[in-house]
Amino acid sequence: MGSASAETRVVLRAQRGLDLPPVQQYMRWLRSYASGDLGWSIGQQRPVADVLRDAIPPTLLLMSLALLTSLACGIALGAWQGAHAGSRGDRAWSGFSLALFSVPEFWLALMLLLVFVSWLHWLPSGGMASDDAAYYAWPTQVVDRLEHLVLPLLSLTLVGAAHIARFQRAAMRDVITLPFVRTARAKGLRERAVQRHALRAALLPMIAVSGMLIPSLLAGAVFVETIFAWPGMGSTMISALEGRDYDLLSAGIVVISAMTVLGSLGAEAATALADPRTRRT
Amino acid sequence: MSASARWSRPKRALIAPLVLVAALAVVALAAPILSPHDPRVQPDIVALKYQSPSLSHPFGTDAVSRDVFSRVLYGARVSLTVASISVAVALLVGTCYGAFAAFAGGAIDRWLMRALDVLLSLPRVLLLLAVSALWNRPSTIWLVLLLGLTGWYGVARVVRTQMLAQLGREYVLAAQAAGVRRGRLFTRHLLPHLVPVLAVYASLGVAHTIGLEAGLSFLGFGVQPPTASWGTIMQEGSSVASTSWWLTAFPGFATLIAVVACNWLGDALRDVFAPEQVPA
Repeated sequence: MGSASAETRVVLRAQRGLDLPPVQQYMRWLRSYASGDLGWSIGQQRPVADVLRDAIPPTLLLMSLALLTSLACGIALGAWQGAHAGSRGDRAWSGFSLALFSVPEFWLALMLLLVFVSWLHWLPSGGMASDDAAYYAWPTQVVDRLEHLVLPLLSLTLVGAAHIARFQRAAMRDVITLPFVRTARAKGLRERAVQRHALRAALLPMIAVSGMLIPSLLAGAVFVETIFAWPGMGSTMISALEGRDYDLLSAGIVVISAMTVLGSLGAEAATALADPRTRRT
Repeated sequence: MSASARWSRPKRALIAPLVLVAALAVVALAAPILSPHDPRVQPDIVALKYQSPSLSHPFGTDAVSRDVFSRVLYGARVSLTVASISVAVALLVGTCYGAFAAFAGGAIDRWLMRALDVLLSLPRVLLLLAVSALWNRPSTIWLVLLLGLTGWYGVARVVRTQMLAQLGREYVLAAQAAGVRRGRLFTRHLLPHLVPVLAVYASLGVAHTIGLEAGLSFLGFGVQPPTASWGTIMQEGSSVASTSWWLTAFPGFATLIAVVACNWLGDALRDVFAPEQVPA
């Protein structure tokens, strides 16, 4: 701020509309968004739309994979726990998932980085691919990509799966006492088959839960992407914050809010599709 | 299993998490007695920096030779206080908002709930990061307020739902017929019914906020040095995390224990008080 002359400052203020009243500034901002102009990133010296075009796909990739693996692991664990609620195994897993549910994602990511990268040297420390990946043969490129994906995905999955498992355990525990499960048992169905029947009913709430998981996965991605230098929305937002890149920042917040809203809308639509009882007539 | 045994079981499950939370509070309060060194003293910033854990420095030393163990003990005060006060703010705001919506009813209620939906769609972490960064890293008091003012949406919802369930009951009608004014009706008759739910939300909220504050501070947008929460200590150690791992490992482990304790307490409280009122 100190170096700009008074004249430059006046010109810049007028150019960016900062001398207008807030309502007019907001209308100006809305109008430019409506016409597809997201502004200029002063940090990266290119249009915000270009920055987002590069940053959104890596985040979507990481998020969707994390959602899938969290659902798979969380449902399997939670369903088993719910079917054996109160047993020693259930209590042990409950303690484990409480710890993972509680662990700060950034710290988990740091510790994974410490163990698997600094101490064991098993995996690369960050990014989406090695710098010289373009010169590799394609099978090596694939392996290289996967190696870079493991730790960010693991950090998000461990925490996400713990979230899902908590809900799935409660849902399964409730369903397993319902009359239709008792009937299935009374008919002499094997326990595994009984549990399969129960799981179908206990899966319904998981659709809404995965909609709720999206915001927390996005929040986790901010930290995980920053720690593993994953070139997605999260790390872009952090560098925009540090560089006070206002246009990029506001566009990023709009994009992430939109992802959150789309996630919960999608979950609601999927619930309606799967469960006719929730449909409005 | 007899009925009495079934009822006492959830209450007995409260003991362990309560003891753990109490122990954390004692550690924070007794930090001056328990810590072997002054957390601010830099005995020898050349010879004693980045010392790995030893008997005299159980958690090692940091970049300016301060004792990390003592800093973690004192950090407990900051982390736990910030989280507790901001959750208190959130409970206050959320209860007022929810109660007001429930009392008002009709169009006002509908619009207030719609506004809540809008607020809920804003990503909390990013909002906090943005406000904190653009306000030039506010002081700890502002951080507490920010955390509190972005953490009350869930409370407002559950308070409104609970209030609506109570408002039609006979005892409320009787009190209203006796001429009890709204404020008194709320504090004397309705609030006691909300206490169990609020207790569950308080402990789960403190757990979440401890982690959130640690994350913000870790990125450099939370508690600012020289005040140090666990997150701040980790931030200072993040650039040397691969070599001086004790700077991030120990404060993070302390954070984990505190969050586990509060989540555990919240789960146990829910099992005792309000299994069906609060979603898992």
